[in-house]
Parts: sequence; C-alpha cells; structure tokens
Amino acid sequence: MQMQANETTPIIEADNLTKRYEDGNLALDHVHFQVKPGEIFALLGANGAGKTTTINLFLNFIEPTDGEARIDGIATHRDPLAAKRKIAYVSENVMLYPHFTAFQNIDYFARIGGQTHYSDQDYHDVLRRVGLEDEAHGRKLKTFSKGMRQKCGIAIAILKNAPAILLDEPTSGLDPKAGHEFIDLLQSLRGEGKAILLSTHDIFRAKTIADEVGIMNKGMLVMKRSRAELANENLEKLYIDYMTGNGVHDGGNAHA
Amino acid sequence: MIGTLIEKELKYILMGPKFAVTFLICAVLILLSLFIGVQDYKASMRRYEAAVALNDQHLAEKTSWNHLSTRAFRRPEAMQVFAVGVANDLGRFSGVDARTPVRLDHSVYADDPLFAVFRFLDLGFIFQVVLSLFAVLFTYNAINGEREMGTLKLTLANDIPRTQFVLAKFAGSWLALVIPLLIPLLLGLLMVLGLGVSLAGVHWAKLTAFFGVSLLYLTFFVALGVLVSGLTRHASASFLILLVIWVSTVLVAPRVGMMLAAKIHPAPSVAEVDGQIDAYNKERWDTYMAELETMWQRRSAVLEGLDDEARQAYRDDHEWEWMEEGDNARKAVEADQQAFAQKMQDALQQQKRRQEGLALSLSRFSPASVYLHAAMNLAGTHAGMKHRYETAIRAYQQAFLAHADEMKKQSGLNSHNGFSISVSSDGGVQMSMGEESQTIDVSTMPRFLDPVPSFSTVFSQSTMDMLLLLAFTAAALIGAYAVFMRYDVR
Amino acid sequence: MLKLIIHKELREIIASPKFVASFAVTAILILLTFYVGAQNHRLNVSRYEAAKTANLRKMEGLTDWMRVNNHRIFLPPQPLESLVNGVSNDIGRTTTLHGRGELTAQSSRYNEDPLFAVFRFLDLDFVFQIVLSLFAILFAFDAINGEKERGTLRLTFANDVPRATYMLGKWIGAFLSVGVPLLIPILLGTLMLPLMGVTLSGAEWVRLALIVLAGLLYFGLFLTLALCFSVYTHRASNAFLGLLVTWILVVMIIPRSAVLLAGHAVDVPTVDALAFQKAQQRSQLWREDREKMRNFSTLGASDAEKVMQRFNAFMSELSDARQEKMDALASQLNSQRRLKQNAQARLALGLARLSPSAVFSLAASRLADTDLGMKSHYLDEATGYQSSYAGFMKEKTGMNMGSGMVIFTTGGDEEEEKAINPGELPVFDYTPTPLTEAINGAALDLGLLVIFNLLFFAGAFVRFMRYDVR
Repeated sequence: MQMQANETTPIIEADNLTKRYEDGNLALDHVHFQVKPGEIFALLGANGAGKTTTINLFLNFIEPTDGEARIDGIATHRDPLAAKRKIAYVSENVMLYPHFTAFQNIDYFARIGGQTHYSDQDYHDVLRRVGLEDEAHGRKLKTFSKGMRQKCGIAIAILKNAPAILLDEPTSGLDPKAGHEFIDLLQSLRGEGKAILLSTHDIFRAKTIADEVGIMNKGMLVMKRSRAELANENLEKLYIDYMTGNGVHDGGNAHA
Repeated sequence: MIGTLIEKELKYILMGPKFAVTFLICAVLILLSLFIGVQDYKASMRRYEAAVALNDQHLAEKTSWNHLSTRAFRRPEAMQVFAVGVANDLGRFSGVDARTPVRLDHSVYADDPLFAVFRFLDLGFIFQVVLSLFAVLFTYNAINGEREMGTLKLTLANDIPRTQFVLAKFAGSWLALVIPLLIPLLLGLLMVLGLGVSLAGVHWAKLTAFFGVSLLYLTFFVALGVLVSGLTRHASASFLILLVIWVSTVLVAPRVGMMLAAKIHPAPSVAEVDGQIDAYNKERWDTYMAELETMWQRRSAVLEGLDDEARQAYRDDHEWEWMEEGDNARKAVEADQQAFAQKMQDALQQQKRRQEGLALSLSRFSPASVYLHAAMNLAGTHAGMKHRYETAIRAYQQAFLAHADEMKKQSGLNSHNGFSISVSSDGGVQMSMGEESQTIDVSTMPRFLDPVPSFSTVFSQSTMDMLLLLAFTAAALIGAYAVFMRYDVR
Repeated sequence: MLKLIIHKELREIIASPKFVASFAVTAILILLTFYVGAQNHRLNVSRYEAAKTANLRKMEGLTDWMRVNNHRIFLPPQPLESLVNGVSNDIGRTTTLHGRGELTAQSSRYNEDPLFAVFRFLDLDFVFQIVLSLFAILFAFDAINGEKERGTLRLTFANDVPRATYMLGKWIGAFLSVGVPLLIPILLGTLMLPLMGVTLSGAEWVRLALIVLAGLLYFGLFLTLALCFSVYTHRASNAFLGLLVTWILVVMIIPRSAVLLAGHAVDVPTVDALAFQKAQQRSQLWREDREKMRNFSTLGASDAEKVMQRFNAFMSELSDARQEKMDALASQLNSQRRLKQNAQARLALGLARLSPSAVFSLAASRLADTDLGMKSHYLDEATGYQSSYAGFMKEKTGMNMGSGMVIFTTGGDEEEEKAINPGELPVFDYTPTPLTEAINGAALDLGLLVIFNLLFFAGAFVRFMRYDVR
C-alpha cells in the first residue's frame, strides 16, 4: 500500500518482521522498527543476532515468514524491484570487481542503479568526497586495502541517490581515521534527508551517530533507545546486559 | 539495463589474464590445425593424383580386355581439412575386376603408420576438446564467483530482474568466447584459400553449417558452465564438477558407447568372411570344371566317327559357337562368385550397421559425440563414407565390366592373347600363342566419379544430431535460468 | 619435521572433495580400461580363431595340393595391444600368401570398422596421457601459491621450518597421497585380466608392470610440473592457466607438429610409386618370357603327359628366374623406402620427445609391441613363414609355387583321389619381439621420464628457496 511520502512517513520500516527457516531456526522474531528520512538507526548485536538477516529481508534476498519489510511504503517481498529502486546498499566486506578500476566499478554500479547521467567529473568528485586520493581512482580494485574498498562501496551508495541507505557492518576493519571519515560522511548524508539503517557491533560509533539504537539478540529486538534516552545511560553496560540476558526486555516495542 | 550488464561482462572478461591467454592459445590451435589439415589434404591429393596416373598408365599398356582389372581411387575431399574424420583410416582404393568383391583397403595410416602414432589435430577436434574446455573455464564461476566477490548482492540490491542477470551472464561469456574465435577462424579460412585449396559453393554451404554446429556445441558448454555455477556456492566446487563432467562427456563417453555396441552386436571379421567366400569359390570352380569336362566329352563324342577333314570342317564351323559356350560358362562362374561374395558382404554390412546403429545411439548421450557425428557428417568424413564409396565403386564395377565386355566383343575372336594349351587324344599337344596385339584403347573407358554428397544430403544426415545438440543446449539454458531463480545470493 | 609436513599433506589432500571426486573418476576409468581391454582382446581372439578356421575349411575337399591358393595368415592379437593400442588397429593384419614374392598386409581394424576410428578406443595410453595428467595438474597447481593465498604459508614459515624440507615434504606428500591410491585400481585392473580369461605370459606381466611404471612416472612428472608452476606464480589461478596452456602444448601440439615437420623434411616414395615400378618390371619380364614360350617346341610330342611334364619344368625355370629378378627389385625398392621411412620416423619421434606426453606414449607402445615397428616385425615374421610354407608346398607338389600352370586333364583315368588334409600345413607361429629388446627400446623413454621429473623438481626447488612467502 503506497503511502504519501512526507516528513513523518518512515522510509525504512520493519513491521513484525519474522523469519523462520525450514529447519525450524527462528532467525528473526517479530522485529519492529522505523527509520524516518533524515534519521540514522543503528542495529547493534553480536554475530548471528539477526542484523544481517534483517537487512537481507529488506533487500528481498530472503522472504519473511510473517510481517513485512517496507521501503517507502512498498513491501519488499511484494514488489522487490520497485523497492530496490529506493535502496542504496553497502555490504560488509565490499569486494567489487578486482580487474576493474575504482572508477569503472562505481560507473558500472551507478548505471545498474539507474543513474546514467553522471559525468566523469561527477565520479571523481564522489570518490574524493569519500576520501579516495585522485591517483587511486584509476587503479584496479585488487590493489586496494579494505578501507579503500569500503570507501568505494560508500561512493556507490552515494551515487545511487536513493532515499534509503542500508549499511551492513560498514566500519569493521577500518582504522580510526577512516572510521571517523566514514562517520562524517554518514552525517552529511543524513543532512541530505536520507533514512539510514546501519548494522554494527561498534558501540562507540553507534552512540556517536545514531538517532536511535536497537539491540538485537537471538533474532529479537530486545531494546530500542533514542539518542535522548541514551544521553543518560551507559550504552556499553546496556549492551553487555542484554547480551548476557540480564537486561529488561521491552521487546523494542516502546516507541519514541 | 541488460545492455549495461552485458557490456560489463565483456569488459571484465577482456581485462582479465584468462582471456588473453585463452585467445592466444585458441588462435594458435585453430591456425595450426587448419595448416596441418591443408598439408594433410595436399599430401593426400598428390598421392591420389599419382596413383590415378599410374593406374592409367598401367591400363594403357595392356593389350587385352580380358581379365582386365583396374582400381577405383578415393579422391580426398576439401572438407577433410576441417574435419578429417575417418578419411585417413579408410582404404584409399579398391580393386575393380570381375572376380574380387569391391572393398576399400590400404588406408593412409596403414601404409604410413607414423602418421597414426599421434593422430590428427583437426578443427573439429579443437572445437570438441579444447574450446569446450575453455568455455567451461570462462563460465565455471559465472554465478558463484560473483557471489564470492560480493558483487552479486550488490547488483541484485538494485532494480535488476534475475532473468536479466543470468541472461547477461550467459550472453557476456558467450560473446567473449565467440567473437575472438571469429578472428582466427577467418584468418584460417583465408590461409586455407591462400594455400591453394579451392572451395566450391557446396563447400561453403557445408562449412557454414559446420561452423554453426560448432558454435552450438560451444553454446551448450557455456550454458552448462552457468548452470553448474548456479548450483554451487563455491567456485572451486563448480570447477571440479565441470571438469569431471567435461572429462566424462568429451573424452570418455564417446569411446565407451562404441565398445558396448561391439559387445552387444558382434560381427564377424572380414578375414572370416573372406575364408567363406574362398570356400564357395572353390566349390563353384569345381562345378565349372565338371561342366567343362562334360562339354569336352560331348564334343569329342561328336567328332568321334569323323575323318580328319570332316573333323577340321566341323571344328571350323563350330569355333565361334564353342567359344561362346566357353565364354558363357566362364561368365556364369564369375557372376555366381560375385553374387555370393556380394551376398556375404551384404550380410556382413547388415551386421555392422546394426552394431553401428547401436553404437551411435549409445554415444548420443554425450553432446561431444553428437557434435562429432554432426561435424563429420557435414564434412562427409564420417564412417558412412565407407558404405557410400563401396556402393559407388560397385556401380562403377558394373559399368566397367560392361564396357570391357563390349570392347571384347568388338575386338573379335582373338580376344584371348594369352596362350592356350590343348591336349587331345587325336591332336596331341598343341600350343598356340595369341597374337601380340596393340594396346587397348582406354579413352572411352568409364571413369570413376567420387560420390560427393550434396549439401542437402549431408544436412539431412546431420539433422538428428543438430536437433539433439539444440535440445541439450536448450535444456542447459533453461536449467541455468531455473537454478538461478532460486539461488541464494547471500 | 619432514614427516610432519608429509603427514599434513596426506591428510589435507585425502580429505578434500577434490581428491574424492578425481580419484573416483580416475579409478572408474582405469577399471573400465582394463575391463574393456580384456573384452576387446577376447573378441579379437575369437575373430582370429574364426578367420583361421575359415581359412583352413576352404581347403577341405581339395584333392590336389596344387590347387591350394589364397592361404592366409593373420597377426594374432596380443593381450597388451588391447591395453595400449598404439598402431595395432591401423595396420593391416591379414596377409595372403602365394608362396613367393613380397607380402603386404591388408585390412586394418579401423578400415574394417571405421566407426571405431571415429571414437578410438579407451586404452591405458589415453587414460594416463590425457586424464591422469589433468588430474595431476588439478592437485598440485596451487600447492605453494594456494598456501600463500590462504595465509598458511607465512604461518608455517613463522616457525623454524627449513625451506628444503618443506618443498620435499610437499612433493613426497603429493606423490604419496595421489600416486599410491592410484595403485589400487591399477592392481585391481590387472587382476581382472586373468579373471576375465586373459592370460599373460611372464614376459607380458613384466611388460605390463613397466607400462604402469611409465604411467606413474608420467603422472608424477605432471605433478612435479604443477608444483613448479605453483612456485613460479603467486596466484593459483595463474598457475592453473599456465599449466593448462602447457598441457595443451605438450599433449596436442608438439607431437603432431613434429610429425608434420618430419613429413615435410623427409620425402618418402609412396607405396603406389613402388607398386608401379614393380608392375612395370613384371610386364617387361613377362614380355621377354612370352618370346621364350613361343619357342618352346612340341615337336616329337606324342606322350601328352611327358610333354606336360617337360612344359611344367620349363615354365618352372622361367618363373623362378622371373621371380628372382622381381624379388631383387622389390627388396631393393622396399629397403630404400624403409630407410627413408625410418629416417622420417626418427626425425619425427626425436622432435616429438620434447613433449613428455610423446615420451610416455612411445615408451608404452614400445613395451606393448604396438609401436611403429609392429608392422615391419609382422611382415618379417610373415616372410619367414612364407619360406617354410613354400618349402612345404614344394614337397607336396614337386614344384615351386606360382611357377607352373594348373593343368586340368580331361579324359584319362580317374584315380580315386584323396582329399588333402589342410591340417598338415605349417602353422604361423608368430613370435613377438623379445622382452629384452622391448625394454631396451623403451629404456631411453623411461629414462627421459625420470629426467623430466627430476628437472621439474629441481626447478621448483630452486625457485622456492627464494620464494616470497608473505
């Protein structure tokens, strides 16, 4: 059901999102959250908690058993292609095409994303914006370090110019400087009105940048706190509590 | 969008080291195989022309049409430059005379086994073995490779239907494999023409079909590669699987089918049949001798009571009649012997055909065999060549013998220029030498014309195999599509 | 330390799906080859027996030894030729004897059954040369650079491991883990032979063992070559590509090109040219003899039989003289041709020996007696038999074969004529080349296989000493 896009309509919405696999494994258990334009939502959790599963549901790489994942009102499992037009995705461990240069890679993915109007200068600008030096633009990806590849991934997301941006563990393996640059980028993107869903286990960064933080454990969203609420709490302590099962599980149902 | 996808495929493949290397190898192999093919063909042609000339010379020196034998030679075909098939395994000629059955013998390899030690390297082989392997190398990681690189997720995070993606993968790999092939192929064709092989219209038609089938065969392997890469998560797994499939399909299956057929439908050897033919010939000859004896006794009886003069007169009167009688009896022997030999050959042929039919069916489980059949049939160098030639030579044999008979009649009574000995109780021993006559005139003798099959003939012979190949390819394509629709891209 | 490395190699390789799949396929192929070879041999033997029987049967009922013609002998099938085909299916195997003159072989198996030529046979030569070499490549192409890519190489060398030991361990490990299991299907296969009714003599067992040895050396050589490539490149995919190219070069290009070159370089007169020269001589001699026959007088002939006897003796003389001249020319022309052929073969095979594939193939076919020499050996044996056959026939008929006329007397007394016993004919006892000769012939190639192994290992070893393990 298409809704009028306006300030208060969430762009990224998980509505009782559930995924149970054929072998009985409950990967996602009625996860519920919203991300409005100009907001960053950070999903925290250990490996296997369900963060990537959530993102995969938004990308229609798997289908929900119950509930819905919606992008700008479009249910992703009902009209995946339409939904994908509105998503920019940065995956964990961005590999890209090793024999292509950075330039060639982002050009290709920009076109795949439907953006065919960019000029060469535009590409160079974006690559600079994400912090890649000029001489690296024409180098093949196989010579890049992990951080440089990550930056290419972001560049691709920027070029897509989509209302929703999904990032899966984007800062893992980045040195502090690169991590800091990355945060700056995200903030500028938020300033442009993008709705950003970020999955990470980097508590520090999450605290710095997120408008809302959700903690996932064993497929459930066990806690959701807004920035305001977190100002008075120790996120690290909360995180550990929830990980070890001592936290108060409010089902993430408390809405801001 | 699919244009972008295909473009990227092409660009990406072209930029990798794999491409440059395989292209170089393909180019070298294609040109080399064509070069070798031309040399083989020209050598065979020289051999053929020399043999025909010698045979003609031989005939020209003959002085009698009696017991004349000639040879029918198999002319090398231009198509064998591309797919040599059994051209060098099959006998180069057959004797043509009144007594012996038509049978091709003395193949190039039998006369010069050196060339059999390492076999041939024709274009058909390059396609069948090498290019199919390269097709697999290009596509074994079409799907799972992208998955491992993380780019599959990235791509499908966009508005790209899976159908387009898999189609682009297939088309991109196909173009990257086929387009570079065209260059050495064209160069090769130019080289073939440049080296003096003349190709007629029918050859071009056959060649076009041959290239078409070869491309279809490659297409199958490209589709197969994409299919298997969509069945596995890891490129190393699909690589192994495809290698196993390739070895089984291309190298093993064709051979095994044949052996099974030989076991199920055994046929006697030619040597055995020859023995049976000889046994019959001996018996028939005995009968003939008995007839001659009877004939002589009859004649002697008639001449019994006459005096010398009357006897001579009688002999003179009946000379022609007796000659004809003798001739007819002899011809009857030859005809009977030929007929029996033919019957045995036909029975053998039938058994062989059953065996071949079974072998062909069994082998058709492998696309490589199917391709081989189609290619050889189009080139006219398949095993059926033997039957085709022996049938044609048999027809020639009839024409030749009829002509010889005609010429014998024309040259009159003294067609025996051997010598004869007659021993009779009254005349004693008499020997007469025939006259040393002039050499015979062979200018009007019919010439053996090679049965070169028309394009429509070879095309219809290969239709079944071409359709099978099409079916294989379609199945692989559909399979690849179906498999990718459900592929876990994470 | 060495043992540790070898142990790890063994465990790693044998546990891999790569090994399981390749070993399964190879084992099946090897067993299939032995099975098919045994079946083929039995088929060949039964056809051979049938042909011999038919040959003798056609002589039954004849009352005169002089009427025996078209006596045929056949090259008996040897068990090893079904395992290593060589040229055994390309050469003629039937020879018709006329008592004198040169012999030719007719009717090769591929000519008789061209469909077999389309597909060729599955023999050990093929399995080793083509399939096993591919699998050797598959196993060792990433032996070193794969470890590098996985990061385990630097992990290993962060310890006190001598490079030489590591390399040796890799090599031995590969050999043991892949080569030794191969022995299982090979042994099973060889056991299949007697079980399926194919008996080998002691000498033949030795030959087979040596063929297997050659195959294993060849397999090892490719293993070592792959090891070499994996040391000379830093990426496994590049090594594989390089190996594939080498494989194509070695297995397909070099041998065939060598033959082509030799074909160009050495001109061998064609069989037809020779046949023509012989035919010309024959016509010439006949013409001369006709004159002599014309002058044969029958004067004073009253006793037909005496005349016939005199005539036969006369014809015999003529024919013997003629045959002598023809034999002389034939042997001169033939030996000239053979010399040229041998020169051509020497050049071709010498060049081909640049390729280990060719070396193996030559060794195997030499040991199996299916190499180029097969044809001439057969014809030599046949010629030897022809003399004993001719001698036998002269005893029985009183004249040399092909010299007299077949006389059919009409009238006269009919004695009770007894049928001849074809079983009296001497038997063609074909002796294959002696074992020592075969071994000597193959020694060069076996040696080359060992040398190739050592060469490639040395190459890998030397390079690895300075290999960048990071």
